[in-house]
Amino acid sequence: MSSEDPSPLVTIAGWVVVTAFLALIASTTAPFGAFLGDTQYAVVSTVHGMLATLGVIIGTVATYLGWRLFTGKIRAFTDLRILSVLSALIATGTVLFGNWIYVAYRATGGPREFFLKNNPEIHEIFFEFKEFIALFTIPLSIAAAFIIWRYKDQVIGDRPLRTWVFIAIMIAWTALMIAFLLGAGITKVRSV
Amino acid sequence: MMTERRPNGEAVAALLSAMIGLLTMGLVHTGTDASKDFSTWVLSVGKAWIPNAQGLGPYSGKETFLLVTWILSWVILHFVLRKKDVRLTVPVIIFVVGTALATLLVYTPFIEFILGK
Repeated sequence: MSSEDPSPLVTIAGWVVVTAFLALIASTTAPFGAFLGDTQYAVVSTVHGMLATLGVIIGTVATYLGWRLFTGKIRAFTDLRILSVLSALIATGTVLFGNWIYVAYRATGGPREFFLKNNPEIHEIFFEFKEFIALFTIPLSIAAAFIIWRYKDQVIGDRPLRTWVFIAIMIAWTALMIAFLLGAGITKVRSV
Repeated sequence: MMTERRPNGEAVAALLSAMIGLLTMGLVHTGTDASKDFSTWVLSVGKAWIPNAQGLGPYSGKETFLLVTWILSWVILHFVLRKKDVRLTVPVIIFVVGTALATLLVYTPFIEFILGK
């Protein structure tokens, strides 16, 4: 690297300033509210969906690092520590906001009534399963994060323990993906 | 500097308690499908502390059972196992089988199969 190259800090600061400027222009000129809809639960359901999307991104990276942990080749253990906590927090937040809109889902005239009248299997099989499988992510991700933080580097050298931690992370990620995809599919048919 | 190795009992407690909470939720969910009275009681459990539990229905009680059994079993197992080093083969098998069963118990076609509906 030559002495004329900008430092990483300058590069990141420049990128943040330019992005913030463009975001400011976009947020003050484009009608983003039109995407949210005009129901009482527009903002809550948007937050739920965005948290779930963020959870998929972070959870996928964390699961990859969990795989590296399992194989005994992890280098970015500190990243896994951070992402394990973030995954647990996002899973909890997503479920809390999901609970909030579940009230609208079950309300008279809501999607549940619509599905039971027109296509009961969507509620009875897919939505019911989605609601419960989403809950799997909380205890499993919290347990994995607890072990990763409590045992620190010891977990890297303990093959049976790191295998079990990876199994828990993998089940949590699978549950997250099922809930996310079913949620997206169901919302496509009828949203709150 | 060598740091002292921590016994794996705390890890066993954390993961087994997660499975216990999920399995309890699955059993309670199946129970609400089997009995209307039980479903009403489960709703009353949720109503005891969750805001707008009526809107959530029996789901609020099922979440409560998950939370209570998970945290309670974690506390108990943590204090029972924290100084112990255990072979992980049996706990891992219990965890995997229990979690798989918990998954089946929230899957409607399986519930209808075991309830003979």
